[in-house]
Amino acid sequence: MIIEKEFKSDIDSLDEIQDFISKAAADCGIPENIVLKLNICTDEIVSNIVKYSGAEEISLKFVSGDDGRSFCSICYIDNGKPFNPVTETKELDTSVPLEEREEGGMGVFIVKKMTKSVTYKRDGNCNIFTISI
Amino acid sequence: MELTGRIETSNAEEWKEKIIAGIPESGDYVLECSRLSYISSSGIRIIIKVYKELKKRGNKLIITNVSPAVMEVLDLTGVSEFVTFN
Repeated sequence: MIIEKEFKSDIDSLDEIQDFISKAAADCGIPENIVLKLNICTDEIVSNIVKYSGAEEISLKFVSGDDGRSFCSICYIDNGKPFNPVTETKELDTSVPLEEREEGGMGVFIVKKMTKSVTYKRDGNCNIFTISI
Repeated sequence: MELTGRIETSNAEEWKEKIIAGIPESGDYVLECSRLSYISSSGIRIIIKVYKELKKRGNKLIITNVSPAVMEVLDLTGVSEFVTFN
């Protein structure tokens, strides 16, 4: 099953985007614990796009199926400035005491840890970031 | 202080004000999480900020009744190594 939808790149779109993810996942029979992970990853990815990319639009493409192993992937497509979260974000050193931590850098780290894979490509004037879970 | 629903980018500022306003004048600070369904990095930043404030004055941040989804994020970010669970 493939479900696609476009949204404004705006912080006010976040609730609408989360509703889209939750509904698409429910329609595909995805278990609740995986839906929560998809919601968390979506919050991290979309908030980064809205805050830093300068994009006007975000398109989401939700793909779910069964190729012998159930899978679910989401592509986040934005028309903002080029940014590769796979290579341009630092690993978080979780052994550093909290009082010595700097703000930031946790969002993409959480996404990488919660998913089976993350990929990025630049296509024309669009960033395409895909997570598989 | 009871945390409920979701703590994510769209409501993090609101939660930040509430959680910081709830810090007791003295003693440890308990965050009850049985009705918290998930937390993203915007919520983790609030937890770290509050932890730092309490640590400075020699008190603990105590987190209770955490769901598996919330615990996973606390574990992934290494926060669970430093806060106290009850």
